Amino acid sequence: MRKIVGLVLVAAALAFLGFAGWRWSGTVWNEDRTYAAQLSDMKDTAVRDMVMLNSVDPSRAQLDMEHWLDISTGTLREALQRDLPAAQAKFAKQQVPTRGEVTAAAVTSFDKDAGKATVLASVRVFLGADSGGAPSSEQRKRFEVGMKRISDGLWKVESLTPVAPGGHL
Amino acid sequence: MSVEVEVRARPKKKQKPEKRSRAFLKRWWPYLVAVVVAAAAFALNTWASDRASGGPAANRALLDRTATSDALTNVSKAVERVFTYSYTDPDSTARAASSLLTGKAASQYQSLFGQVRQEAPRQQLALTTKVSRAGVVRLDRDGTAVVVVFLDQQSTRAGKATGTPVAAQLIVTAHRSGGTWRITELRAA
Repeated sequence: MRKIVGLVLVAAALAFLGFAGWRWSGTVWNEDRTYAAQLSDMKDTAVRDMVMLNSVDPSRAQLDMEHWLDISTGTLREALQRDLPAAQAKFAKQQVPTRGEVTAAAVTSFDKDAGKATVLASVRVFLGADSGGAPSSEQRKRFEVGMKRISDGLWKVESLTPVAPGGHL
Repeated sequence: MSVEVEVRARPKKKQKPEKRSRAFLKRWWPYLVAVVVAAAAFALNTWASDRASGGPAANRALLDRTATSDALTNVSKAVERVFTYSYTDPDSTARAASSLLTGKAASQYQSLFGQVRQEAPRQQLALTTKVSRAGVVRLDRDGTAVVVVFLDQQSTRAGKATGTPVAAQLIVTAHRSGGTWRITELRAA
């Protein structure tokens, strides 16, 4: 009798182990999980890029602008490259540093296979802020950011569209 | 004299210790195996739960498409309603606010919108708010969503536009329970 009870308990424990194993394996080989991981990485990149694209330190503007070209691709990169001389002239005259901060970012579309994504980002740009000093003014901006995957795990900003008010009112 | 040495056989223990444990094992092994297996299963199960609830997949935004669009639609509608106001019918906005906002959001709404409401009757103000873009920042399994909304707001005085539409961005936290969404937190982005 005792033996039967014992064996039933073993069987139950094994069944539980099987169930736990099945749940665990579900977390490892899970399409959702890889999709989520890629999405999350892309979003992190978009946020970092948005900070960079909204920040300029005039003392090293050249370097900042080279960075912009590094993190952008396609139409945005072309536009940045075209505007480079004008931007250089502007930053040479105007010695105001700007620092961008992404206050919220939401992915609105993500196509893992095509390597395309859209991210909404609201950004605060602090003007005249240098290290430690308080910013003299602040701008709030909002963008629709088009992201493109260049290679495995590497995303770049393809388009940067300010969302102007009044489109449909 | 003779010393009588009593050599008495010491009472034998029933079994030697190792023999005893062997007997114990023989009797109880299924229970021991069951305990060990159950402990392992429990550990694995806990680990699986941790993995399922943590990590990037914990944010269900876009992963769960139905819940994502549900959150977007409801939060957008709610924000448009509570931030659309007319001096001719202030009560309908107040009613919407009291049914759609809860907790911290109610007082945050007051600080964001209280002034408009105070000024409105005297200046014959009306405000129309439209969501131009919205995206889910975060969506949890328990029905909590963080949504960023890009708003376009047009105000009118006595029916005439006071200027061009103004942009505003809000970070809205909302919670769904029993099919209804309520806004629990409102912050300017």
